[in-house]
Amino acid sequence: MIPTSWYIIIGIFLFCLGVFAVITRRNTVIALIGIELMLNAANLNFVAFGRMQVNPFEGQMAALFVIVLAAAEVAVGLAIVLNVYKRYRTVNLDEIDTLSDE
Amino acid sequence: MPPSQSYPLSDLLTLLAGSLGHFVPELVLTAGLLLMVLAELIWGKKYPGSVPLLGLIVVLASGGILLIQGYENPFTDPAHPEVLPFLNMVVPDGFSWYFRLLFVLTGILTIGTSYFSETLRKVTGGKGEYYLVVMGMLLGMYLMSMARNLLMMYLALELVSISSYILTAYTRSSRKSAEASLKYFIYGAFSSGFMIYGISWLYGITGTLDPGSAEFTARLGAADPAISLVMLLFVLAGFAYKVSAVPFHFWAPDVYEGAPFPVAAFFSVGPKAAGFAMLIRFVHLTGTEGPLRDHLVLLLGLMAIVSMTLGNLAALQQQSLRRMIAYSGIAQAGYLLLGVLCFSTFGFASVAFYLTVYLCMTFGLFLVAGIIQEQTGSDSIDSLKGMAGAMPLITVLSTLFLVSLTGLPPTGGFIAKLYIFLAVFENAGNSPFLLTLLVAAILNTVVSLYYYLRVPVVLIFSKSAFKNRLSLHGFYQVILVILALPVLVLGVFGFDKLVNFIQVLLTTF
Repeated sequence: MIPTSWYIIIGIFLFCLGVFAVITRRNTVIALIGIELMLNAANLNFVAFGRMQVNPFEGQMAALFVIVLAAAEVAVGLAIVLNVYKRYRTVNLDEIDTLSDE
Repeated sequence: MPPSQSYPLSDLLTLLAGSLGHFVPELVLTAGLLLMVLAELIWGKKYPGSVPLLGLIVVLASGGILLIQGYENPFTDPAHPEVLPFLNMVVPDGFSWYFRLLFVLTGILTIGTSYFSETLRKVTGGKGEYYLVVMGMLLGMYLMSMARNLLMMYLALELVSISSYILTAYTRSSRKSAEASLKYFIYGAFSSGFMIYGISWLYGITGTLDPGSAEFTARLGAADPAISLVMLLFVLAGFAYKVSAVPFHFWAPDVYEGAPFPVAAFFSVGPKAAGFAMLIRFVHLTGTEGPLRDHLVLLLGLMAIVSMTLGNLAALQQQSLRRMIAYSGIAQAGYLLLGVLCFSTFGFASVAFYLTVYLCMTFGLFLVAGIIQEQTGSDSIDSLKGMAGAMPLITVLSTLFLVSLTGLPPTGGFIAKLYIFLAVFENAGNSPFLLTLLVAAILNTVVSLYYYLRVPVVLIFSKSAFKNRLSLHGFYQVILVILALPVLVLGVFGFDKLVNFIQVLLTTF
């Protein structure tokens, strides 16, 4: 059996990858993918940590809820990105800067 | 508390059926939301006002049920007196009761101002779907104030967040609105990713998602302090984003400027109050003793001091009235965090009191900013020059709101700040950290004096070419006066009674 710690390490790796993508990439769609990676890292953690418990269902249920929530979030997010693309003809975060401090 | 699977099935069913009785205000909101979908389909075209009217009735009904239920509403299942509704998922206690009443008030104000706002009516074209999203957000705020389980907290927070992304983007034709919604979404989803990852680690360390259970605090307290500190920081990221505290505050100025004004006014008070309600419950359950409390005090204290300073310094330089309110909101979140990290009933009660006054003054100020923008087409503070003659009522009331936000007597804002500072002082004892925070907060109040009072000075003492009176819809006049009343009254008398009442509510916490 694969030890639980391996899953946790993959989770940490996924999470860092997601954070890195959101922070460094200026493309909104890549940022969205990064956010999905962060959520999936949490899902992996929930299921892996659940395996260590007597009753794993709490963690598995949490993962299910987070999956559904990620779907809802990305649906709204893509609609917003499309709307921005229609107004600005770009999805580059650096070029979308009408609102800023003077 | 025993884990849920130790109950036989028949007991579980009784427990769930019993839970529904404590969930009626939320069920009314949900049923109302569904009814509004139907109403929109059937009467939406013929009677454009029917959906907002129905929304108003539903919110009032749920508020009425709350009042009838009363705040002493412990879960009484004779066989299992220790289990809260839905197996410890939500707590319909006095504390959440108070906040839910605040949300009812916010909901009524938002639906009303949205209906009468010219800009929003042009966008919605009298369509009712806008109000559906407002109702969804309201339901999320209800759940945030009641949530006790970490997963429940996260889901309630996301219900509010996703609704607010939609509301911000609602003026589809506006470039500003599109940009604001994109920034809101990226920051929101980013911080919620941090939060759920932190929650997954807390689950891994403790083996439970219920922060109120004994093993949660015990195992988290016994864990490696470095890991528990980092993971608490991650979880607090989600809260910080919701209450717009540093370092997750970047969205606030953009959203407050870009969103339609009733929506921005709603965001500035509703989710902030809900975020603080949830934060107070979380720190109360988690930080009962020992190293965990020290961790939380350290993290919240740092967040508070940076929020106050950064918010105030940035607000000093703003030309746009709405951006100024946004940065002032960040600074106010800093003061409020001070009340949270006291870990005392008095501290929590002073936060609830502060949020009550804050709701009135900030919503009022946002209304003023929105009305002026609708009439003059500009949002800059300079465009207010010498407008006092053109709009006497607005000048008087906005001066009151701003004086109250600064924290000068005789307003509710003064009393609220005083209570927070007193709570910190009471708990400071011989902790140099808390004393430093207190001094920083007082210095910050002095700094904020400059930018808050700049607005009335510009309004009254500048020369202007503007001679005509601005027309002000009767509804806005009524709402502004209603909002001004508690700000003034709570500054003079009755405040001690209200704070005592909240402290009574907190005893069942």
